[in-house]
Amino acid sequence: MKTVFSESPLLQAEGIEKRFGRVHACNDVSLDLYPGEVLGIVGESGSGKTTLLNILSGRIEPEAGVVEYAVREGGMRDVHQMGAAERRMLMRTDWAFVHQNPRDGLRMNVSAGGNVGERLMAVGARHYGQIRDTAVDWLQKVEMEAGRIDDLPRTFSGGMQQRLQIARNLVTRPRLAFMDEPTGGLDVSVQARLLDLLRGLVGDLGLAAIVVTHDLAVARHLSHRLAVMRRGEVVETGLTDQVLDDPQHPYTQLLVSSILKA
Amino acid sequence: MTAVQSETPRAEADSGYNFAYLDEQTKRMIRRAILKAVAIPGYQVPFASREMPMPYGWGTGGVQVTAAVIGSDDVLKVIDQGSDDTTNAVSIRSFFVRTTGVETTEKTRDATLIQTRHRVPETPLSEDQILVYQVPIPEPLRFLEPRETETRRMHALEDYGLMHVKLYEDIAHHGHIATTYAYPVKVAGRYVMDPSPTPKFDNPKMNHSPALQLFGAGREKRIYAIPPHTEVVSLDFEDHPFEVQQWDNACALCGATDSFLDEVIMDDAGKRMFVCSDSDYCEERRAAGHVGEEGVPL
Amino acid sequence: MEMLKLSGVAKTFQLHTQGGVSLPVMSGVNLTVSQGECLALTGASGVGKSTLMRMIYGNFKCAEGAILVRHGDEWLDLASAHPHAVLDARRRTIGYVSQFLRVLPRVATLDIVSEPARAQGVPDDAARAHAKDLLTRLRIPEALWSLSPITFSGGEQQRVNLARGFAARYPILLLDEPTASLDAENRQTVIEMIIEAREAGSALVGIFHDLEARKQITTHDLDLTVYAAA
Repeated sequence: MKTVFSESPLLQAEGIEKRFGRVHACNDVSLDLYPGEVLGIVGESGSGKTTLLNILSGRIEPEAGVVEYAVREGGMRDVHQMGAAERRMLMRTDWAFVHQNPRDGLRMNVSAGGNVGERLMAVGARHYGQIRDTAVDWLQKVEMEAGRIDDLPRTFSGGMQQRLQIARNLVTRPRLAFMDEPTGGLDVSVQARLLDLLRGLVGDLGLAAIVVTHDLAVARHLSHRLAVMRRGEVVETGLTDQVLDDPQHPYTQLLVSSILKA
Repeated sequence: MTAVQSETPRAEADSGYNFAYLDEQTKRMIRRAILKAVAIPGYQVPFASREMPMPYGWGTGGVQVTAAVIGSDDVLKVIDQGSDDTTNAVSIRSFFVRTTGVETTEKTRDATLIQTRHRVPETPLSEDQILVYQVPIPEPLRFLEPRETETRRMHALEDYGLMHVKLYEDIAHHGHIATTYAYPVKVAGRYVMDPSPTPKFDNPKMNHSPALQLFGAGREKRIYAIPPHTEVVSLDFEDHPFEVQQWDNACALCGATDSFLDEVIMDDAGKRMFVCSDSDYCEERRAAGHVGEEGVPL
Repeated sequence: MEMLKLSGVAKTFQLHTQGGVSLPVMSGVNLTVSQGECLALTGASGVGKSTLMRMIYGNFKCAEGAILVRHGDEWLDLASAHPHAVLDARRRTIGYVSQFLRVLPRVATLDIVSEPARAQGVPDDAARAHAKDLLTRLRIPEALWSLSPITFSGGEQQRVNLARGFAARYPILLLDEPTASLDAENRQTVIEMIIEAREAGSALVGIFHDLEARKQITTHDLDLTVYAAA
């Protein structure tokens, strides 16, 4: 994995607040992410991880706080102050969003090739042959047979669907990926393969990623740094192996000690 | 309410109905929607579609648009699938005759207002004509994205990648773009529009047409428009360019090779013939002396 | 040249899940290792040898004191460095051969071994060539190179781990029981490799229960018993 990081962050969040009724989903959360870096956000269900991911990616508005992103043209832009058009442009070019359930991230009634090609067409690709070649290339990158390019996602296994979702997202070579439990719901054997694939892609593309997971093994293998969330607060951050091997906060210790060692 | 009647029904019309059936306030509401639609070519303008004395699917959107723009000196032509004498065309024509008493015609050239279902006449339109389309489903993105909230946002953000995904799927499954009607177009370089279920054969006629083209969807309560001389581009790929249908046959009656042909089954033995879908065009050619393989000189 | 300097290093484990018990391990640790030296950490089991090694690698947090490593042209205090600086130090400056191999499934042995060199910018084929030399020297049969080491025997895994540790040239190398679970032949090879690294100028810190190996490899000892916290 890449270990040299530039001086300036790609994404920076400051004082994020979000409540749902009486539940404090994000309580004064601040974090930063550097180009090429993978940040894991761990914590149990209901700890606010997914809410935070949705706020960071501009999908929901925080009640307070600022999320800034370093746009390609240079300079930091407030993600929530951008126009809808600009944010959508980011969403289909510079950003990727990988959902836990591939059905949320795929068009189930469109072929694998159409799914992968959609972002290309959205940014103006108008040559069928080239779109198809790129789709084949990406199917192979995610270890799918090129021969399945015209098949519908519903004919694929869960692991294949997840790989297709990843290909569909990475085809425009984004700089930042948001991943919500990318290996959740997959068989253990399939998880390992996907993890390995993700790690390779992140390294090859120089992709920065924020990976929300409750699986500490996923966090260990994918992320450079970890943020541990509990009840809407980030209780501990640091180098991934340090947080997992020498956790400081009581909650992190509980989380780590609750994992069965294989 | 002091509804000032802008038009007086001609003597031939039934008394008891306001001119063109709709009340004047409703016509104004529809005209406002039409003006907005003309101002934003290709954009679907919501309007308060009224109950009409005919079922949805029979052209209630087109009828309301026609009712809002028709005047007592208009000459009306109504066609369904290119033909003036099908049930739908006949009943809509008689509806307007009864409620306005306007003159009607089957000649494209003589009409000032043409209401159509599924075709654009073969005879080129002129600047003093209005073509009104009956539209069942105005949203071109519907089949790929069923959420109206999302399709409206996609239009707003000009997020039209999905439209090409549909064409991509066509080529992937059929080797070519198999969409032959309701073929999506981009209007004035901005909005992607469904040209109603007209065959793609007619798409090129919409481009830079000197006539005003109005689209009415009654059930879906939408009106949209292509102002005269507006660019209308059929979506395609560089390596799979847009093409219109072509036939190996000429019209059996008039010998035309440049018109949209309907295939007509002649008997139980599978005998068939191809004839112009535009009945007026076919008539006009035959009157001018053109004769097809199975035609007889007039 | 001094490569590694620890001053006043202390470590206490707070076990919040076990009634908040506080386990002081060591305090006031000072040590210095220079180029060409190999320091053996000694003391009874539980005295904190592995803990200290892991602190030097940034794997365990150092709450008190300074852990200075010569990183490029400057001293970097790993006890207070940003995680990015720690990762960069691990890439260029400090290698660590732990007792256990921890790798992702499905990744080939050759890729695992050559990875540190590639991370330092060595071209892929050169990194692979060097990895092959190391695997050959450590007697890992060529037939296994393309397989994941997850199913290898303990001794094989340990040798893969060693090969990985020696694949890049780290100015500082930490070795946790490098000769444990090796047969005599491989043990001798590993001893030779460590001595070569030391003579080439690396600064080494190790834990060696194998007394014979320790005698051959190390230049001085540090008994952590004296720093054991009360």
